[in-house]
Amino acid sequence: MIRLSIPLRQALARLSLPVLIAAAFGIMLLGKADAVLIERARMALADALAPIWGAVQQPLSAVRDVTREADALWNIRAENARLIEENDRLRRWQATALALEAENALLRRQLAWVPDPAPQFRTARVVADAGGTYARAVLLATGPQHNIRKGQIALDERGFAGRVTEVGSRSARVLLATDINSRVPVTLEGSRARAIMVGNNAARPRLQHWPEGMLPREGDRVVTNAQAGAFPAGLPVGVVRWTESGAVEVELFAHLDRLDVLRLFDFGLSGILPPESVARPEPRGRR
Amino acid sequence: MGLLRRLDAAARAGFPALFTAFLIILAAVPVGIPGMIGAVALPCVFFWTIFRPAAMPAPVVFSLGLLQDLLSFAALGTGVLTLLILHGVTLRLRDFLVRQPFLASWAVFGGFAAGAGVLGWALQAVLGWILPPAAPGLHQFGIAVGLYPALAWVLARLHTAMRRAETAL
Repeated sequence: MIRLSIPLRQALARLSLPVLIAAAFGIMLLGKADAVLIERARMALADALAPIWGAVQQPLSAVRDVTREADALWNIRAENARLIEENDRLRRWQATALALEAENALLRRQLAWVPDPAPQFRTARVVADAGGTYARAVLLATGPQHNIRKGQIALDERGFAGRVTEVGSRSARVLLATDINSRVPVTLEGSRARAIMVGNNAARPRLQHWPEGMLPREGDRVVTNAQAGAFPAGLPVGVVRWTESGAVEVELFAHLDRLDVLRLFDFGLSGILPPESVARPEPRGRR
Repeated sequence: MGLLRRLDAAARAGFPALFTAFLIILAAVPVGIPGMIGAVALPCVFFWTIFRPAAMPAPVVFSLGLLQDLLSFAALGTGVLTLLILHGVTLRLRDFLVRQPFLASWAVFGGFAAGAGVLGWALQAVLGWILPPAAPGLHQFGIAVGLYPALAWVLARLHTAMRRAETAL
């Protein structure tokens, strides 16, 4: 170790804070200037920590399961009554669905319909919150050998949850539909009207840009829209809810506040390209 | 000085930084509360800057802020700057703060956490060039202020244990 005189050491200690504050501003500029480098650093760190988070997740999810179980036991009577009622309703729907399925099969035979191939998906465990204060995102532990790409679509067991935005060697980050930067083209199933679902960091994203004269109705189902080629059409997203202040929100089917496992679907879409694959425009030569 | 004793001293010197880093990493585990990562580092940096400034120098604060920013995928540099300013202000007021009873230091920390929330919000607005909602900042402030008594209790225990070990030498 280098021996420094005491006054010099004191001067260095006094200087270190202003220098480091200047360095913080430098890092801010670097983060703005070289997003790819920062992203690589983040994913390298996430890759290194993903196994640790995975291990911590085990006892935590055990505790969560126990509390959920206790909750279920506590509500067992009310839940049973609700389920009996729901079962009756679903039985009627099942009869309708069977009739419609038979009719659908008949019509498809007559039309020589080519069915869509079943999409490939893989599941991954949510191990960390990757959102911080002003973002809503989760980190998935994917294991070392995976073929997850940016832009793949994440669904939980109920509906649309988000999109993959960063991919590391053993982890991937999913930007949730509630994030302030999330914009999802959607269709309102009742009216077939198109709209944009805009995240605002709250539990329910807002609905914007619906066509004039087609007000979204309370309780209308919202599904994804294939516009712009970023999503396949018809993935379940949520239902329309009007707030008391007159804003239109979407109550998501997915439970984004307690995600355990996400399914990542590869629909082979590349509508919105990641920034580094967008070619720079060629400088125009002088004519 | 024997090797064991030197190891012991090194462990004591490195403990505050490592413990804070460990808490930041642990705070990323999803428990359904967003904004934990940003809220955990504030009480630790505040506490160790008052009671053990030699173990929490500015470069360590810088690295902790960088770790926090990288883990939370926030705009890079916001956590670094917030923690450094918290550290600087706390260090300046250290002679006053070290003599305060717990409730007074909690109140001071509340003021600092509010300042950190406002600074974080402003940096987010400038770096992202959109007006972010105020609710997450308030949320983070609430978590930080609520966490402080529990963390300070644990950290004060550890600090007294360390001091006892030092005087025993």
